Amino acid sequence: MSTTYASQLVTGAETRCLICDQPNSSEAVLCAECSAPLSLVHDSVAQEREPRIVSVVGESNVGKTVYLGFLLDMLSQRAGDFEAIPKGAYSIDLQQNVISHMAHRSFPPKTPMEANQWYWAYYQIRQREAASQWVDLVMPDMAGESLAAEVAAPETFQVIRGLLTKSGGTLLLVDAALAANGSSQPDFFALKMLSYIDGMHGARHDERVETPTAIVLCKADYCPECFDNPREFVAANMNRLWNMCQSRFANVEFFASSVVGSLAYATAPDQEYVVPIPLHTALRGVLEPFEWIISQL
Amino acid sequence: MSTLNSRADDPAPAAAPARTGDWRPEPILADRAVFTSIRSATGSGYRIIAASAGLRAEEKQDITQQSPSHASLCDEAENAEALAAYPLRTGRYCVARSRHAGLEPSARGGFRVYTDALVLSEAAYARFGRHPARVLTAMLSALDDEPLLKPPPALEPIELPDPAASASTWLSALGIGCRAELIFQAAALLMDGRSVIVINAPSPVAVLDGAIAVVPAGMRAGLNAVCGLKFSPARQARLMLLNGPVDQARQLTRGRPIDWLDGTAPGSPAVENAWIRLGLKWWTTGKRRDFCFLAGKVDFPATPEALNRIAGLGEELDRIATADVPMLRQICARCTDTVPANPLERELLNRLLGAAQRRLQTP
Repeated sequence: MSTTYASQLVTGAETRCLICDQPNSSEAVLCAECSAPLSLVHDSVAQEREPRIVSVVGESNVGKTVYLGFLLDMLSQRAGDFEAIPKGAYSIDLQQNVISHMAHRSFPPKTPMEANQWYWAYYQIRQREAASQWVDLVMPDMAGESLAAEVAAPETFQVIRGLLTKSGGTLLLVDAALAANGSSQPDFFALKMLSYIDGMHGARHDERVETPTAIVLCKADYCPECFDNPREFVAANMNRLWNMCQSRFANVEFFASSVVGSLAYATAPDQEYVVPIPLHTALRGVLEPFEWIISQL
Repeated sequence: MSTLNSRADDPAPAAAPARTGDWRPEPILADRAVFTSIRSATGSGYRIIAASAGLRAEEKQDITQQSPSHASLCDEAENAEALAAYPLRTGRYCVARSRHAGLEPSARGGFRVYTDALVLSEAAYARFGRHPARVLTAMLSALDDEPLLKPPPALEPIELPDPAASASTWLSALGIGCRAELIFQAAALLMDGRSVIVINAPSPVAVLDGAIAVVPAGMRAGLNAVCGLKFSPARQARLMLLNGPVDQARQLTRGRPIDWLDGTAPGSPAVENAWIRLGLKWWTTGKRRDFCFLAGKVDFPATPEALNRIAGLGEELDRIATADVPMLRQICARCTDTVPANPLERELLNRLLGAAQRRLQTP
């Protein structure tokens, strides 16, 4: 089995990308086709098993980087009785970036659209109490604009299609604060995202997408009622998303999440924008969506 | 000294109708797209925020893939600029100018990257000699410098000024600020079908300008170039000019067939390439314009043998001034007996014959 798995990915002078299966030179750092890091391949070969991919998706500025960074940091600190081991130093870059910025009371910089600039995390995870099996997870931090561009015109970013095709679970982050304020933007984006995933699976009208999908209501500190009943919140404030989930997705759960304890705002006379400043973090609901996804894998 | 310009001041003459008193060159229209990050009712973040109606869906997709997003310019200064030129899958060409335009609207630090992309037909691009720097010059004069951050529903196509009008100015400034050897090293690699990254060039745009100008026009078809943008595999071009730290680019290009040229390191191009040898000689002896005109006239798929013959004729033209009578007679005989392989060779042979005969007639 180990020889078969390794030989499928690494043959002589070639390394096959884990995401798009294209062959690459053994010296290459990134896949020439989709820009996914080839270190994932080498690390997975060392583990002698194919990793599961969990995709974190959402529109620009919803908080994917912050959410994923804190999630990985919590796992590293054995929150929720998870034991998590990063494979490769690159897997720690994202959480370090997020924690460092938040410690200095600033949000991390925008994630560029160029796939070679994304953070990728490869972790071995298990729940210690349940004495469960180790699961290898790959979780990329994708740019919201790249997701939007891919949804609008499929195959604009091949790596996204490849990731979502191979995902064993999806965390769809939506901006609860905007939705609570009456904006339809989060609802429309989520609808487009799920339509894209539905279309990708090519299921018939009487079949539904089985991939476990966690809808995570981010920035729920703005609208704490999310925590009481996330399902009701989505049904009331994001009806298009709710209907799509009901119709086309067989395995969906709803969660509320928040990372910021208190927020200040800063501006200057010569500045057009108001800069939000996270004064302190108060993590809530970060681990639960992930726990649920793991339980469904 | 013999010169090669047939139509005054335009190294890329396009086929034109017979001129009458009220003749005007055909206007050059380009479709336009703006790619940047704004907040609007329909979305936020980097995307095409406005485009002219003639832009096709596949072209928008290509522009989205190629355009730089957050923190993608090599230079982090507020006045940084970058240039990219690439063919689109529809057969048209895109020349895009990127710069910083205020702060990133999500207030997470850094500048907003603003990209103006012009899309030209093959014929329109050929009028600029398939040279992105010439299109950039035209773009700068045709577009308002103020970034378009509150876009209208659709943009109008842009009329670009005739490149012939600015050719003389362009040629006068060509290659200023960079070593001729660097220009021809890059050009030689491009002509060999290689991809090349140039680093530490004192004037990266001048290197791009010069290198493309000396590549025969027929070989510029499909040539993509990037100047001033951080390396990204999605934006990989045949000619890339980077400034600033390049460690990440070196790592990302491992295992790829890319040559690296350092603008600060001494070096010379391969002199076994007759075209490059002639070009370097003419460039450094005050005949830069003549060589660019010659490169512009090679507007057909020239084989290495054809380029060697053309370069050989150029060398012969140089020898006319100092040739003795027997040599001049040999040149005349060769010109008469040689069957030209293409119209440019015919033109060069005629000029050579004319020049040799005039020398012979001069007491």
